[in-house]
Amino acid sequence: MIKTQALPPNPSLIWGLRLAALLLLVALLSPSLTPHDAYAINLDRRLEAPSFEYPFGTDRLGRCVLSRTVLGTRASLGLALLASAGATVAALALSVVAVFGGRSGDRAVRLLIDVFISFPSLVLALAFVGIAGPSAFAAVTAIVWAWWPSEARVMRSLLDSARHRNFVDAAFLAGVHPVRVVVRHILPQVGPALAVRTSLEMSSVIVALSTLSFLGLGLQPPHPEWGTMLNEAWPFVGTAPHLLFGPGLALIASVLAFNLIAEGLRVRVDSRQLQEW
Amino acid sequence: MVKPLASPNAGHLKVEGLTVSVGGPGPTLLEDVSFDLPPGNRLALLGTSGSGKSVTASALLRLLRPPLVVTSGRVLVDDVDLYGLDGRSMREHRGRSLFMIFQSPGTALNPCTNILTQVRRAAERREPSRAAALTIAAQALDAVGLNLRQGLQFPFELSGGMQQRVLVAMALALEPRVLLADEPTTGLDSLAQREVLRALEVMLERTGASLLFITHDLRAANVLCRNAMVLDRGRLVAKGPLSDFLTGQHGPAAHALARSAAEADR
Amino acid sequence: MRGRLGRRLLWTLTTIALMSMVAFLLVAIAPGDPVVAELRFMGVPATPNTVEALRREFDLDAPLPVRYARWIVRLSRLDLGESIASGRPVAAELARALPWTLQLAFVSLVMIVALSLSTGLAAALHPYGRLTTFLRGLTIMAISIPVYWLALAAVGLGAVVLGWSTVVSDASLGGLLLPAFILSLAPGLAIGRVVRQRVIDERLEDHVRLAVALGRSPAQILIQDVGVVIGPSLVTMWATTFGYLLGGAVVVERIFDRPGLGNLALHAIAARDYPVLQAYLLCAGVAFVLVNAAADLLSAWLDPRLRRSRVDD
Repeated sequence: MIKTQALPPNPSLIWGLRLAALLLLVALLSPSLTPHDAYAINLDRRLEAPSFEYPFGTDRLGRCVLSRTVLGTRASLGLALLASAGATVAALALSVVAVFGGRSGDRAVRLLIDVFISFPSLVLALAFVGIAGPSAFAAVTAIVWAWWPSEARVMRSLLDSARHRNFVDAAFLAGVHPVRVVVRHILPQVGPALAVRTSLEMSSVIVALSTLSFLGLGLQPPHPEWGTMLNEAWPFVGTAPHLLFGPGLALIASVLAFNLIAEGLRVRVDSRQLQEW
Repeated sequence: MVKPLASPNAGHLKVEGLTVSVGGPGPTLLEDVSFDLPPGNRLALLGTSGSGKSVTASALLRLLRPPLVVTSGRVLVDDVDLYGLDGRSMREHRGRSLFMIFQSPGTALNPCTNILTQVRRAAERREPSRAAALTIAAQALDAVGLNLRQGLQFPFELSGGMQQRVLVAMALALEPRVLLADEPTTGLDSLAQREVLRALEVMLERTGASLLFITHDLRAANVLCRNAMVLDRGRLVAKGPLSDFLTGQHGPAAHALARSAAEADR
Repeated sequence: MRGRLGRRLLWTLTTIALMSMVAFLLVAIAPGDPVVAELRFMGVPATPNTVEALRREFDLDAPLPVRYARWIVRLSRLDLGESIASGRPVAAELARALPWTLQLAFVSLVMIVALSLSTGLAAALHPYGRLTTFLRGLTIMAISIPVYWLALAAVGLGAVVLGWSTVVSDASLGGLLLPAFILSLAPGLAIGRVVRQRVIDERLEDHVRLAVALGRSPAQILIQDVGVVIGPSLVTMWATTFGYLLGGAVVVERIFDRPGLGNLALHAIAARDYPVLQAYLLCAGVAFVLVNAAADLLSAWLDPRLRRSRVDD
């Protein structure tokens, strides 16, 4: 058993995890956290600047921006999580096919990846939504469709080098059950790098999904979602700039959280590798 | 015996009490190293790996990698203390007064430029006109035994021996007053070694530069140098004619060098 | 270099051919019936006769490979079909919109190069100083903010501070430089950090030490000794941002009201205009592939070690 020294303090990872945990908490508890009803229209109080009663002000229909931002956490992060998971699963499945499917499997998957990765991600997503018609489901599927190639490229490469280490070959030859080989020998190798990659993907997906919503192609009104809220705020950006604040802050916080986690994990992976030397 | 007059291009290298350590208070890698290389002379600096040879070379050029630092001593080239110069003046001396042939030519040469251009850039230090510099470069390459076709190639296309000769050609084009050669024959087969040493001989004869030949290989040093000094764990432990070291005199460090030279012969 | 040129060309053409298949299949296997949608748009009742007639016109009765082949033949004549929404040839619509987007993308790319080189080099000169820390913070912020938020904030700022009543748009410099800059901010700063690291690392390399020993000037060393070696990886990174620029252009064109490809695509999505969407996908894809191929060749020109036609790994 190799004795490892204590790893250096990792503020990125710690703060990233704290922020992500906070956001998760907000998402889960949001209905109880909203000071006002997020759907309640109040035409007398339209486009009000931030005040004690409405800390983030009100939108064009007099709804409380803070409440909508808080409730919007569920949609914005939940859908992003779904899309990210979908892309990861698709990428993983194809990587497994590539690495364990022999020469032809590897070639086919690599060709598939190379072709799809030649399209700009957002363009691919837009084309998909255009064909399927705007909806939350279409937006999520579009993201899975457009993000799996870049994930698959990285994953296939990681899995490939992990699979071809000597001790993995030895384990297979010794007759160890394939699943056991994967779990005990391959997973520990790819796990850390995969975690870094997934965090980065998550922050990228959050932005992409909100962009689709901003363009009116995701979750449809009146449901609160950060991108949709910014779309509704657009015509009033000169007269009521406070509308940018709520969703903007939420978006920045979310993206920051996952970028920090990715950075923290990467530093950790590097320092652990350095220790093993 | 009448000593031949030194050519006007021969530089005088004098090192006084050079001490190098890791950061100010850290372990000392070179301790109180002093020697005198008169104009036109050739001196070998001998030592096994880890003795501090490369540190000496870097220190003489003011190219020590941080955190290594010179804590005391002077490096005088033609009575000018290099460590007393500012950046700009130092740059003027670089290449003209003092130049070094680096140890691993594979990594020392620019990987993306052909060697004729690289030697031409060295010649431009002496001759600002591009056309004239190109001529000098072509002649220098020719003098070390490389033809024009090879001149248009890139370093990765050449063998180790050829790469090393490119560095010698650079020195020829520069005509430095003092030349340092850091392990120029290490890692090469005997044929390549002979070619490099021959190229160095040509360069020295044509330019009249003074030479400090840094190596662990007594035999190679013996081809070019009459006198030598031995570096052991950062200190100069012996100085004298090279022939004395070959016969195993001057203490255990020199003895070890002589022994490895003898083994290489077998 | 010839070998690599040939291989790259072949690979590029193959990729484009396969991409055309993707673009074709996307519409071919789309849910819902475009014929019914088209009839509805034309205001014609969807009787079996009309559906049949239109189906034949759109080639929807033939098997997939045949339809693909016919489509490719039409493509080679630059016939991309007709827009369902406007009835005009798709190729014409594309030709009208493409210059706007390309203009935006290339100006933004130039800004990205300028921004990354300037911040990267400045930070490399003082690797552990305040400038580096400041830039690091700025970069983290820039990559965390969605482009459209930044664009909205810019428009809002313009309205509140500068008194813009309508958004400045079209071909004017202000209508191009501001959106291009907004797009260039995040990648410019992010790549700038890479430039900083690469310059710092490269300076420690032996060949740079030799250049110093030769007495070359700092400017010469930076360009001819450091720059040439790190050039290829930077060129590749810059080329990759082109894909992000094509995507980001959609948002920026909408907010700044530029009649480019992005806006065309959005209108096509609203109108379920499949031919236009198909052409948009293919067009953007091909543009991206060409830019990457050009970058690859530029890299090989800079670094002769990359010129050997390598075996595809």
